[in-house]
Amino acid sequence: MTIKQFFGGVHPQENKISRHYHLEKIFSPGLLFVHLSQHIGKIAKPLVKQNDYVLKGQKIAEADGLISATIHSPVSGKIKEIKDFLHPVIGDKLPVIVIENDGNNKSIDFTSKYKEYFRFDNNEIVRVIQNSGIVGLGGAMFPTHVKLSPKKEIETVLLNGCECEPYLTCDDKLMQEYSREIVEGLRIIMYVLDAAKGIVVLEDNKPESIKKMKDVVSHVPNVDIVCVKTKYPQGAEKQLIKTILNKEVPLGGLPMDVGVVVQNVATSYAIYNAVVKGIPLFERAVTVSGDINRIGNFMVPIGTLVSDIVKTLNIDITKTNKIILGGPMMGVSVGTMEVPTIKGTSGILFLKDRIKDYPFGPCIRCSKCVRVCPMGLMPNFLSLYIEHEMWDKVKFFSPKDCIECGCCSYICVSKRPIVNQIKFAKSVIK
Amino acid sequence: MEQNFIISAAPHIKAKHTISTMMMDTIISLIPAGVGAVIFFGQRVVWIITVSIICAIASEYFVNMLRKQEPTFKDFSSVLTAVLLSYTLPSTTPLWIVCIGSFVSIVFGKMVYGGVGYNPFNPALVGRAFLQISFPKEIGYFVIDGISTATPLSITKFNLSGTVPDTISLLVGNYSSSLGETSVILLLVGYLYLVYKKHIYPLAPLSFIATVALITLFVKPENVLVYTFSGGLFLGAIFMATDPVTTPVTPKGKIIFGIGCGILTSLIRFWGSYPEGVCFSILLMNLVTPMIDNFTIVRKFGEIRISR
Repeated sequence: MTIKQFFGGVHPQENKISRHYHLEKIFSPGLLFVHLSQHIGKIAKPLVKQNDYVLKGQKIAEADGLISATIHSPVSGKIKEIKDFLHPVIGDKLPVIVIENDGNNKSIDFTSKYKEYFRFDNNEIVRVIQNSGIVGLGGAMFPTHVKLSPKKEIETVLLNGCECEPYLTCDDKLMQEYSREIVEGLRIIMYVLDAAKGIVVLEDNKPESIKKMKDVVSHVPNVDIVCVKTKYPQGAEKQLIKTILNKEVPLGGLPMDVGVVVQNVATSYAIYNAVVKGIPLFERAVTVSGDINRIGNFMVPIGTLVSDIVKTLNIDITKTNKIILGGPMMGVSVGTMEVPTIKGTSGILFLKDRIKDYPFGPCIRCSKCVRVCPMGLMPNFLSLYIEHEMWDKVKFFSPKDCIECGCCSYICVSKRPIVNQIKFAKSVIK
Repeated sequence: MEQNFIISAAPHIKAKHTISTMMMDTIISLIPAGVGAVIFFGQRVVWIITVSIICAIASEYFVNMLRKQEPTFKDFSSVLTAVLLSYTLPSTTPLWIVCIGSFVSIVFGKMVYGGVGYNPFNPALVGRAFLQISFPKEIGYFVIDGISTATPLSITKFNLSGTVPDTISLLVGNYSSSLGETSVILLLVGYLYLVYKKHIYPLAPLSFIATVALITLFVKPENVLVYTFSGGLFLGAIFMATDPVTTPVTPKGKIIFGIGCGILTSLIRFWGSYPEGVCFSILLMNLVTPMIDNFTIVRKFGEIRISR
């Protein structure tokens, strides 16, 4: 099969240095800070009070409305308090449930009557997924049950195993160690959506995963593996659909408008756990990497503080001066280690020798940003007009269609912070 | 144990290249043609290039001092301008004229608009056009191997005495013309380097050259080779019509720019009073660059807005 490509994109140094480290469980001592806002949508409503005793996997907060998600306790222990705490993505203080880990690892009874999911109505399966608190684990954290109840007919489900961000390897590792579960998760999604075809997409820099997944898929009908060229942002929904199916999602539209649903492989694994095993989402694979002595891929309970991970793994962070939650292209840098992981945290990177602001120069119209923008926008004009606050002109170049992949900022020879300017413009032009 | 970490916005990694590396790459791509010029026209070429560069840096520094700003010559853009300007001059140009040309290029071509990135015209060509108009005699005297000869374009246009070089010397470049523009092969080496480094859009120079060749084929079919391979066409198409600041940003726009340059060059060559028109055609097309940009906005991904 010829490897197809989308327009634009960049290829930063991959730096997937943690690719050969097996997924390990990590024990998080002390306090866990479980955020009530771990998804796009309304903040969840807490179901527990101070001094309540909770078990691992117990529901501690309930979805508030349709676009919201349930949250489960990652450990067993006592609820210490409910207070406001730093949120890693929003960067503001939001309510968290603080759980004191008693170390007993006592869990609720994980059994599922949905092992043979195909005997049940698909709405019921969606309800199971909703109750398990599953959100898009690629980083967007959009509640999965909403994506799985589209208003249009779905033909194809794309399972996104591209992991196009540099450094991150957690999805890669997940696909190697839980390939059967991931494919089973894909079949559950296909059953729920009544989709005829499922395609797992991987970038060609993951040969081990490709081999493992191919082995599994060879016995499964209607599921294919497609290998694509390594290029950022290959994992972006719209670009993925364009590459694989040669369909363009209309501007302002959603993948379901072209009959496609895209899910991350980690989400698929979580769906398998929820539906077949009855285990809700309370831990996820996280890549710990960067310029440090101890790197690897870990199953981290949600709500673990970065400082606890550093302590448990004995990471020497004295030489690093930047912590990024997520990948280096779209991740968020945090100023302190006292920040918990959430459902969308795919990586914790410790980098050194980073300066705060690149001094940026004038635009020399080199047009590299125009050539790399996967959405076909004109970042150079956006950047100039936003700098001079000419909002009419900015509107004409439609910043709202930007997917904030950061290719323009990455490639800019003058180091202009183009994608930040566009994010700012989005907040100005409503 | 409390350690402060840097907070900054994504992306946290950036490509290595900067304005200065980009300019440096372009200067590197011009080196083969420069070495060729030294071989064809002698040591004097080195002096012309050096004087041009020194003057350009001094002029830029002078403006920096007047404007009380940080020195900006470190981005090498003035060096590039100086090299390009010197390549458009004959090897006999008096050094004081090189000085003036370099000064005009930097000050009136670039710095008065606010420095690199803001100039509407290609600075090297502003200097070149200034010299062309002010000192037509001094820079219209071409010598090769100690013998004064007119350029192939002048010979064919004005029916002057002298022989037009054969195809091989047109490609290699050992004939009388401006110092950096003669050797098609060496300029193409620079072109390939720039394309490899992804600094220029490969089709932009080709559209310029192809347009000129095509029009010549219809107007003067017997002189196609001379009109395509001699004169400033390759130098202008590869290094000046692709100057990032003064040409359109969209791929389509760049091709339109090249075609426009080709048409104007041919008009000047066949019906204008100058034998060569590359310089003025690029300057004229620089004028319409913003307009081309406006008409060639890239199609957005999925641009058929659905109604919801």
